[in-house]
Amino acid sequence: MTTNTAAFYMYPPGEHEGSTSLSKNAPSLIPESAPAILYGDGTPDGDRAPFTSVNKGSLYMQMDATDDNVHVWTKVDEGGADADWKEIGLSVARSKTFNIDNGSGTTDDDIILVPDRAIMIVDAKRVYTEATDTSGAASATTAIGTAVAGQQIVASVACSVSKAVGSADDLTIVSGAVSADGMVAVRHTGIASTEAGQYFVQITFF
Amino acid sequence: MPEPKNDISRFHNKHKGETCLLVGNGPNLLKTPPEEFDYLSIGSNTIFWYDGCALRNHGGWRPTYYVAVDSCIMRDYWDDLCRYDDIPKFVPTPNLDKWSRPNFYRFYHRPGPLWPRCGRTLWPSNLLDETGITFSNVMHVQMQLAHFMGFTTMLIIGMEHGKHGRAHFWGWHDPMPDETPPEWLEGYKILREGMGATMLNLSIDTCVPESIIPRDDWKKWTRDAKKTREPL
Repeated sequence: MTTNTAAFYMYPPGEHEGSTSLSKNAPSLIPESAPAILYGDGTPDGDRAPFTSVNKGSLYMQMDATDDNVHVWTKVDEGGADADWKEIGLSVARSKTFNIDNGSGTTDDDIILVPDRAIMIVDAKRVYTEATDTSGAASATTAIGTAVAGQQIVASVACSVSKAVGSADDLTIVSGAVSADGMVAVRHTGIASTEAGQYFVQITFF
Repeated sequence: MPEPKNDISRFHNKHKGETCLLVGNGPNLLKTPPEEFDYLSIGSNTIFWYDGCALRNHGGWRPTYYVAVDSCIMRDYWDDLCRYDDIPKFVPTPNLDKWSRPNFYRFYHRPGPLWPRCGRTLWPSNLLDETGITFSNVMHVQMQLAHFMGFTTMLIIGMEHGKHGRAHFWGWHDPMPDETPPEWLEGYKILREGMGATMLNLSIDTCVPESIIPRDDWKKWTRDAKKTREPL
């Protein structure tokens, strides 16, 4: 997603892009400017007005975000950086911990969640809790589906070698959509014994 | 970061400006015998089998320092490594925390990108005791350890990376990949360029391109050649 190049005030009205003062629109006797509501295309550009000039708690409506993805951001810091702005409404869940060397070709399944309402998974990672060696681990695989052994969310992808504890593999999302009462199921397929490495799968969704 | 069980900082710049020998375990190691060199050396993995290799008389050669990063070494070769109790050994934490023998020094295996493009995160001089390091194979660690110790010329032998990646100077090691992973070569290049050290691959029949690591004639660096170059 590209970074925003032109954002406009929805509230307070009457301001314009690049303005550094909101005082004329703030009600009298209020000690500082009210949070603003901005809108535009692209992700927030945290070191450029109006993103720099609005107070924390301000909102930004991103109009060109990917279909079914988060479209609302809020300002949480005054650092003058993109990281000052966070997407609203994201949640994180994780699987159990899988042991890579559970046996050659042996499968191990876990259900991360069964949501009451439809959700959209926007990010999936494999987070290592035990380091892998410089060879061998790549024979184990992980897949995520909307059914046990499915690959609808993430197609089967090999584990990585030389991973440190706390490092992660970003997994490519095939389709993040999970219907109400559907499931998010992880399938690990292992390798023969005596190979180091353990991990869990972490998903971010809203 | 876990508390190191032995302080690795004592090795920082211990060999500033010196030349070292980085010893791999490829089958071509036998073509450039490490005992022919007169430099401090960093060996790795199953190098402890070299002094017992029956193919030639090695005069009991052993490396000055030793590095291992894989749990299979800890698991499968414990008894062999006991012969190296007097040699400083460098292993990652927390990977191999269960491995405990005399003279173990631990560096932090840092999570995150394998090769951060920002040199600032890769090359602080204290990287081995605070920031930690990433690596894709054990030679990457040998190189970074040599840099940490202050060596400015690194001579490499036993680096083959041929068609049969499992081949070692003593035989075959099954867990190894048959083909050289591209990140191994990429790592060599990034490390060489990032460290600014003179790095020469003296290995005979090596498959590592010269664009990755420049090559040189190993005989120019042997003990005898060194005497000629630096007369007493």
